[in-house]
Amino acid sequence: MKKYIFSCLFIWLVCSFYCVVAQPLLVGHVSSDSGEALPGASIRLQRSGEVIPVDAGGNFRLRLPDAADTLLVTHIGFKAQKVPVGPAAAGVLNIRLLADANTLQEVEVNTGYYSVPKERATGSFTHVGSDLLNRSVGLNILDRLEGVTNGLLFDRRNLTGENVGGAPDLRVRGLSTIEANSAPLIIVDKFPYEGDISAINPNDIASITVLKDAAAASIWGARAGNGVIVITTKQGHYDQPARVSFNSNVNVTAKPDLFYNQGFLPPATVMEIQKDLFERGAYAESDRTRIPLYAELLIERRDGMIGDDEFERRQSAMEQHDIRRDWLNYLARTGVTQQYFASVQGGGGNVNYSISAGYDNEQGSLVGNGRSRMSLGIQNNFKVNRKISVSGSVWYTSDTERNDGIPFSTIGNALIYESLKDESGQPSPVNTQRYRYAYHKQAEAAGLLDWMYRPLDEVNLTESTNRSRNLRLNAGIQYALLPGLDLQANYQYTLSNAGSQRILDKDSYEARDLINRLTDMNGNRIIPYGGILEMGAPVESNSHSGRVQVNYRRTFSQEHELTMLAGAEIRQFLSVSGSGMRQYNYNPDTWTSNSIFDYSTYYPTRPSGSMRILSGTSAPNKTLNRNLSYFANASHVFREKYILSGSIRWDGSNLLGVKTNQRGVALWSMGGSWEISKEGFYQSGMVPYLRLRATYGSAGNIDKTQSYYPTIYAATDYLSGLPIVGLTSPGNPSLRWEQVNTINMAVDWQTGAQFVDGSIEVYRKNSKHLLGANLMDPTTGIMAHSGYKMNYGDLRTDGLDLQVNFHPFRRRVTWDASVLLNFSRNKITYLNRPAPDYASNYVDGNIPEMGKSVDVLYALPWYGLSPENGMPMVFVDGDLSTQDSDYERYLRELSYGDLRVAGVAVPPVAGSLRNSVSWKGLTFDVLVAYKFGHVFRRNSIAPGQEFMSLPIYHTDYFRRWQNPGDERKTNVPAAAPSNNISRSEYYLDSEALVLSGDVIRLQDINISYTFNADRPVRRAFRNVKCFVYGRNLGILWRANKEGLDPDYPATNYPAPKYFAIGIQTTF
Amino acid sequence: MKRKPILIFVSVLFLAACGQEFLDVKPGVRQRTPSSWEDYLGLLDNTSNMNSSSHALGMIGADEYFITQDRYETFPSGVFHNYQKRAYTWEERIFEGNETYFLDWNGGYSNILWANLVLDGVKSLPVAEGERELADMVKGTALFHRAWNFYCLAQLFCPVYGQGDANTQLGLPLRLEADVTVNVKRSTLEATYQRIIRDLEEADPLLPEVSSIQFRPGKAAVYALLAKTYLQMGDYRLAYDYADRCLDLKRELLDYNRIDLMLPAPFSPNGQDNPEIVFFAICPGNTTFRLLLTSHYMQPDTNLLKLYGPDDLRSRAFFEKTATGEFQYKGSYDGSGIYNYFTGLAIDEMYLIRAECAARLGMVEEALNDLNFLRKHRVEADGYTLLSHNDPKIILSWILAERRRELVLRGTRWEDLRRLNKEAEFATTLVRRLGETEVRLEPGSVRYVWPLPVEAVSLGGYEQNVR
Repeated sequence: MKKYIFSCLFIWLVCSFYCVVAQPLLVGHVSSDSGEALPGASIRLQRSGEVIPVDAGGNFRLRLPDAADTLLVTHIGFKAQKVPVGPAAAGVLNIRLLADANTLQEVEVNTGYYSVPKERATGSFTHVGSDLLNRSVGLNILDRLEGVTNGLLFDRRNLTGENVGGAPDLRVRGLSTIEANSAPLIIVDKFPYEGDISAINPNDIASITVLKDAAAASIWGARAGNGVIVITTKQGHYDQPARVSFNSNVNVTAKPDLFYNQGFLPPATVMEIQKDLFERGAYAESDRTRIPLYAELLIERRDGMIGDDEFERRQSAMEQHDIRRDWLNYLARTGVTQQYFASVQGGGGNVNYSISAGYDNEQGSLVGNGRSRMSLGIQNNFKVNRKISVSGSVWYTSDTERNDGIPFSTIGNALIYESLKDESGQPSPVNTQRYRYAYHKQAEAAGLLDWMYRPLDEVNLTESTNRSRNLRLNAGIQYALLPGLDLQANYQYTLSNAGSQRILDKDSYEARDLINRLTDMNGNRIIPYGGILEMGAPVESNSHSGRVQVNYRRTFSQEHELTMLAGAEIRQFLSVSGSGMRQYNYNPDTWTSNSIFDYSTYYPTRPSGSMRILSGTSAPNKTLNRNLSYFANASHVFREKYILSGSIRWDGSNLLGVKTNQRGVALWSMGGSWEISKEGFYQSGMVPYLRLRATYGSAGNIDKTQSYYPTIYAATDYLSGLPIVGLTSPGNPSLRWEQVNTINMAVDWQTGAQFVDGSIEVYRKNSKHLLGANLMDPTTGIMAHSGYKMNYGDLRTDGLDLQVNFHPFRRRVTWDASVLLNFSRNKITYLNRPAPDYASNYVDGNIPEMGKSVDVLYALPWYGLSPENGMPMVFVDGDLSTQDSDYERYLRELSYGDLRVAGVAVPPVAGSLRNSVSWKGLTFDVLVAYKFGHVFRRNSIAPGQEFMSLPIYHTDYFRRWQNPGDERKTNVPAAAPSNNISRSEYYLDSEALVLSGDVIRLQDINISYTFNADRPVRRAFRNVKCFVYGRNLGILWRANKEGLDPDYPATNYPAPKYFAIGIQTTF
Repeated sequence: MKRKPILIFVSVLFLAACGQEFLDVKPGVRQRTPSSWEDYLGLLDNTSNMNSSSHALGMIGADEYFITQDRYETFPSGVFHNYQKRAYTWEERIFEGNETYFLDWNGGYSNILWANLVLDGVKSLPVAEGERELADMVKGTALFHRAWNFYCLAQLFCPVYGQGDANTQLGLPLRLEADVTVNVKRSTLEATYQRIIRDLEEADPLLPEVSSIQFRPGKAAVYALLAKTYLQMGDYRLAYDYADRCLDLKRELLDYNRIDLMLPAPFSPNGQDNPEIVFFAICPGNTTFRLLLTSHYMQPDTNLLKLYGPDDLRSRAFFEKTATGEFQYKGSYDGSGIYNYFTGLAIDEMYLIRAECAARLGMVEEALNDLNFLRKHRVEADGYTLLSHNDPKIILSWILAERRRELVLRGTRWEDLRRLNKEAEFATTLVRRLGETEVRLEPGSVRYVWPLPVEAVSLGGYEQNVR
């Protein structure tokens, strides 16, 4: 009955729309041999020449021809198929195309709004399929893109200290902004992803498409200026028998390489320096000032508290100790990560599904750190009938992190001669307490709690966990309204909860420290001797996104194929953060605690000052972001060789303090392509496939922190408790949004016998009205770096993306090689920002300058060391000088023109070479990555810096100039009894410390073996693959001679090596 | 046939129409554009801005402490630290650019911007019934803050009043509106002081007599600041009058005999319940920007310590002796931390101003009364003796010594040095010794006027102070 109504409705609609007489219809479906729909197939009636449109689900329908005819079904990557049809042939026609190993592999790129075969797209896309994604084993999906993604650069300058595993900055085709957020927009399935990317299990991902130029990205409008990364999850397929697959791997991470870091001096040297300072009387011996332990030892001897023998004994013990070894032995360990993942996919004629579950467990490289993640995904697609299909999916991730590890930075390079265990093997205190060691040590005798910090105890006395749970629901309906016209509606709901908890044992240093500080002069404790329970402010956020979209696809007069889509999207993101709490006197066994304290009174603290008891609650907050967009996209294929495409989009959001017309921005793009090899005149056996593409268009970047009118935020004053407001922005009456116009030109080719294929693309991005922290006259009341921005500059980025794939052998041994080469450089073409007064500020001030790259690295000219005293020479009054006062003068008189442009800090040339050799199921895959053309500044030690109260240590100490003649061998200046600010600045900012960043590294190796499916013993398995994987395997070549890893210029050590072993099976 | 596209078109238009309302919602519950008297009061009640004062350079430059060469040499380098070192020895140039928010100039003008945002914003704000008092207080408070910040900045960046022609000497850029795109040139010294007086006179009728909250100014704060301003200008008559009017509203002194001075911090944090405080302000709490003024480096000036008699409770209240016998400053009227220097207005200073002006005007008895009244609250009850003399000159010198003993590290010493250097008998030459080198700051030196920050000169185009 339902079927009847629908077909009536359908016929009625067809009549009203086309005003044609109903004729018998043939409906059909094109799919690959694996059951995947092929919407990109091209179908033509050979005799009549009529082209039959295929919809997004691979379905087509045609009026039966009057006479017998043949359907020619073609699709790139598949063998063409001919299907005879006649006037009598009715019913359903299922056409399955067989993959053609000898043609280009079909790639469907997904923009989040539509999928299109790469060959029909005019824009610039990088598609990373599951093979490439599964080469590596990281828990974070984005990390798997490194080295295999054309046009995507991982920039790790943002990682500092011990955070080597942190999220790098991603650059899609260089920069398109100076100071605004340069992170690309991330889309998961159809909607922008607001959450933490680590909540996505990489095993659930089928492919990733990076949208690079305007034609590709401008469909995402105002947030697409930095490129878009579209992540597509695995889907079930119709008419596919159930496939069960199981993956598992174990991955082992080496301990951090502390000895890589040059910011250390050996114990004996540090002690020598401290002795020197002690003898000069530089240590203020008061309770409030921390003094190095060796200086304490010297004081004890001076005051006669210990004899010379005892002194010598303790001194030599110190000299022989290196706390780095202790840390590596007791507080670091080999990290172990286990990943398990199982999924079932399959489908019948009207339904398909995909169900997956994953569990990952990580034991961190620091004792006390770990993480476990559980993920679950269920997806379903139903065909209600021929016209209506619905889809739904549920994704859930639960993530728990333990962070009780003690990073080496807590201990620091000044404690090098201390130990974590004492002579009897007991945990030993280190001198990182709040006040003087001696003061803390006598605490117990003074009736206080033990007041020492012992890292080895601490690691067991705290329990810090972060939890997050993420739920994502998707629903969609697609309705084929008319042939070629379908309506589509999608909805997504996300919910995420995050919270943290810290339990401090009553004997943890933090608890004891607080209790002791708040013990009054009579010994009364304001805070009872008990544990502390701290609940971080819970954050709950949810989002609703909805989209309606009309897709239209039609062929006119056999030669024109028109594809159009238009729609609207509405999104709301709500985030509510609670207030958290802190309970004192907490007993972990009974969960009892006190929270009734006077949080407003200031209590005197030991040894001085006063403080309030921290209530641990923070002000709750609620933010609500709303977005509304309209979009349209069209493409016109003419004679299958000319394609014209265009898109337009308007984006609005609920910005505060802007004029109504500033809430939104309209952006557009257009492009074209020409497949020359299809022209009659083109006859080349060498290059049988050749296509040219060109696009132009705009995308944007909205900065939500800026406003036209003054804006304020409400708060509560921390001193008076009164309701107050703070100034978010004093308002900017000349505010405009950033815009990026991109032009892209490309050639795609393939040689005969598929020996070599690839593409070369050149692009130019012109970014206008870029917002940046304008150097403001502080007299206006606005400071530099205060976040107040003005539209101050334009930027131009030029680049080239080259990808060449070689297939030299395709017989018993298969050898595939893939070369990526990305070139990108940027230049500030307009800048309305005053120059700073002192040119030396350019060196580390990140100050943009007209005509220069945003990434430029300046250095001060280096004139070498003086042969007389080994001090750096500066040019003053036309003469080289090493006078103490001349350094200050030199820096003051320096002009911009005197600076040396040492280079750029981000590699203009980057890429990789991947070789994959297979023989009988054994595959050997090696990725070598390279970066060229950039520089970085290394650390060193200037004269006298080791004597500062916050000392700087560096192994360059031993390369210092000592005798005349040394200046020919070293650039490290001689020692000095004290630090001269300007001399240090001059040396550390000079060219002498800038090194080339050129590097070639062996990024990873994957060796896998696939058991053949047709082996009888393994019949139960369709596919079994075992692999061994290694990453961060080392540097093959680097330009610098210092042994430094230029990819990690600011971290204490490079990313540790890791190895994984795993299995992937399909039943 | 055409109906369907039209329908779609219409529905899209409908979406577009409801779209603007959809986007009308505020993105953050705490965020808004200021629109009420409470909003503007909220800006002025923001203590972390409005109760931070510009006093750091004056404190670094004055003679209340010293640093040994060894500690001086261990002082860290970096853009936020370097100027402190250079300021310690009164170098010609101290700034190198890129020093940020916590600079005296920057912080002061930030407060002035906030005051101006309030004064501009309330111009067109209607006063509803029952809001009169609130509206007056908001305007009066904003005017006070503008005057207070101009006053503090003038003590650091303008020449001493009365040592030259105030009508030709350089004053401050008098920014009187919030628009950040407007550039205002430096005014004359006379105009600067007249603006301070005018803002305060306008604030006077708008404010309550005494504010119940120490962070907000009342009339008493207005009079106290006027007294300080006229004292700087050498108008002892008016300075006397305003100190007197302030003391009419608030007169109670803490008796140090009743305070446990052995406590690490004898005074209440943030001046809470301290009857002496008229307006609470501290030199900004970020120690990086005045690291030099922490006990890691500085020790109290030995000449200052010598001024205290054995019975003087203040030597115990403000200083302590460490294990090695060194003295260490331990804080004053902000007991919340030893490095939170109280730089606001308090009535102990008003007694001292009234006494000094009385002495200078020849009113011996009044001067002695105030001096003795203050001393009575500061000296051990057993050892207290009434001071008496006939010569106003002698009394004046007592009062000036009393100022040093009383107003320790409150930012006032720099102001006193500047004005007293005009009088030969009180002129002082400051000396810094770092090992062999000795640096001197002579009375009347141009180095008593600090240089403007680099960015102010290069971007604002202001005339730099000649040093």
